[in-house]
Amino acid sequence: MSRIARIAIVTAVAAFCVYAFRVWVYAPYACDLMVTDLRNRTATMLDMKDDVAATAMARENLTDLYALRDRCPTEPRAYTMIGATLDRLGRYDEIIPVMQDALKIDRRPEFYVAIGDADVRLGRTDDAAENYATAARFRSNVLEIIQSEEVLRRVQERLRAPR
Amino acid sequence: MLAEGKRGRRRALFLRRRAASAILPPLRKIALFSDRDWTVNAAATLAVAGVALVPFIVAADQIDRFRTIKESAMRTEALLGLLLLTIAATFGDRERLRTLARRRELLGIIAAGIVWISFTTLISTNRLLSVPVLVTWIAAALVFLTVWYGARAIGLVMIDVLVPATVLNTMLAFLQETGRWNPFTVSPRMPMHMRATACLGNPNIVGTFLALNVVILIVAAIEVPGVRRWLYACGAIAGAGGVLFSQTRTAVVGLAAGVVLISIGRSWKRALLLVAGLALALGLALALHMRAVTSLIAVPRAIAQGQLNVVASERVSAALAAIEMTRDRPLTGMGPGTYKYHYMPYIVRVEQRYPPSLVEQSGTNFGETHNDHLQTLAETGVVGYALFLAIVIAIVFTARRVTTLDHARTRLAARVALPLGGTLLVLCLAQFPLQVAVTRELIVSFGALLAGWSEL
Repeated sequence: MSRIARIAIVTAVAAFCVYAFRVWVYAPYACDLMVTDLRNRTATMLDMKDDVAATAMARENLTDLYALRDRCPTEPRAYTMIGATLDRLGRYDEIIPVMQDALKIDRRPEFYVAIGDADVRLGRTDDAAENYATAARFRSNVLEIIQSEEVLRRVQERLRAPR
Repeated sequence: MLAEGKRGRRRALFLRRRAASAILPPLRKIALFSDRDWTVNAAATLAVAGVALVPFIVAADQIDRFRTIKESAMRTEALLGLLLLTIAATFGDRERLRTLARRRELLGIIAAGIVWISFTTLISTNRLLSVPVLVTWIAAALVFLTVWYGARAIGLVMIDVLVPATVLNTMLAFLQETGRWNPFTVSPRMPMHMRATACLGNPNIVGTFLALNVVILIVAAIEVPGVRRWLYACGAIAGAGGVLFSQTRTAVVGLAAGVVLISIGRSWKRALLLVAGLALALGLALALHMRAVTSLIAVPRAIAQGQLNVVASERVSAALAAIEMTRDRPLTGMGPGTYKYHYMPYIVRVEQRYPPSLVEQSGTNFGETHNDHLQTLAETGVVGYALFLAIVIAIVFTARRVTTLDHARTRLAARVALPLGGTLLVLCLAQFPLQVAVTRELIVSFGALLAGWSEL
């Protein structure tokens, strides 16, 4: 093998290593940095008493949260924070597609509960009951957080029904 | 013109050689490793740096302080190793690479493992989650090859670096567990025991990591003479204390299994001494009411009372979920890294199929099975699990099947292989050492080192 060919091979591998470092080493680390920052900001936003200030902060956070989701699609915390922020903004119809995307990477009960909550706010009692029931089959204390008696009755019916 | 060009090239060559002669000798003096091939030395440096640094790398101000940053460190080591191996193959002494290429059985199993994980990723039930796991295992294979390549130049310094990793992490876990000092900010609601993370992760990871270290250090303390013997013995005693403080029952059992395996093939006096030491340590821990041992003793009674899942911290249901996944796709599994994705629907199915006393659970969402045997089966199928076992067995046999025990490192490799392999397999029964970078780095590096040292 000629010297030039050998240099070319090493250069190509070095270039691949730089690329791989960016994608597989730095990117997950950067995701963690973004999650840490946005979690603090989301917590601050949720604790705010002043509705106007909280809404302004939620809007600002939302752009960064969507950026986080696009950069780190397998990060479940990104979806949870987007759900909480949209809930604060009252944009319930947007919560459902976000949580359905979340369920493609992690089928944790919190995501079903978030969809159920959004369904209740949008008046879709039956859909809400279905999502709450899915969560409650895994975690029974989900029943304690259901506020609507009608929804709770439907959830209990579903849980009693043979599957 | 032609003559001038030739003269210019000669001058450039002369200047390059002069620069090399000025720089290289001082570098050689300070180099830790003195192999004739610089690429072997560089691989050895990378290997030792990985084992020495990964247990201490933390991202103190982040939510996930330990796992991501350590994973990133291991992947960085893998990329540097890839570059180094490429340079070695193109410019270095290819004799070393030819020696490795002759070990077809080990290379074949590693290659088969990577091919199988790639295939299961391709047909995974959730490819988005499987790709990062594939990258993790390719990185692990690259670390293995780098350490194996550099093993010739790696001396006992690789064991030396385990001592600070063991002692300092034990000390930190002790200070955290007793509430005396914690360098990390933690929520006041967090139970005191869960704060004992050391620089490693959580108490389970602390116990698992220390148990593996202690097994290596005990063998090294027996085999290596001189000052090092005392250094390793101190490290082993501190680490054993750390295992007990971590309250990780599996780590205690794994360590006990390791000690029993160390005593196999030795004189009956030494074997008796080792087992007596183990019994004394466990008796002392029991007298001091250390939870790792007291809760271990309570296990048979809890099982008799039908509280297996409670005593196993709900791991029985997590294990049954993995078995159900394996039943559905026995050959190829659900796909690497997909256990956590399938956990919820399968745990609901497990609750319907098995008696409540066995599967009663509080709704904890298990990201890992806490049983690497079953998780490997569930995610990569029977073939993946067979390859995992084959790699462990191949390394143990390679290290033990040496023709001479005259060389200190060869002897150490032969003696440590079985206890380390046995401890790993026991730890995999109720922990997840393969899923965490700090333990994976240790296992992969020492696996490669044992294979390399057996060739000396």
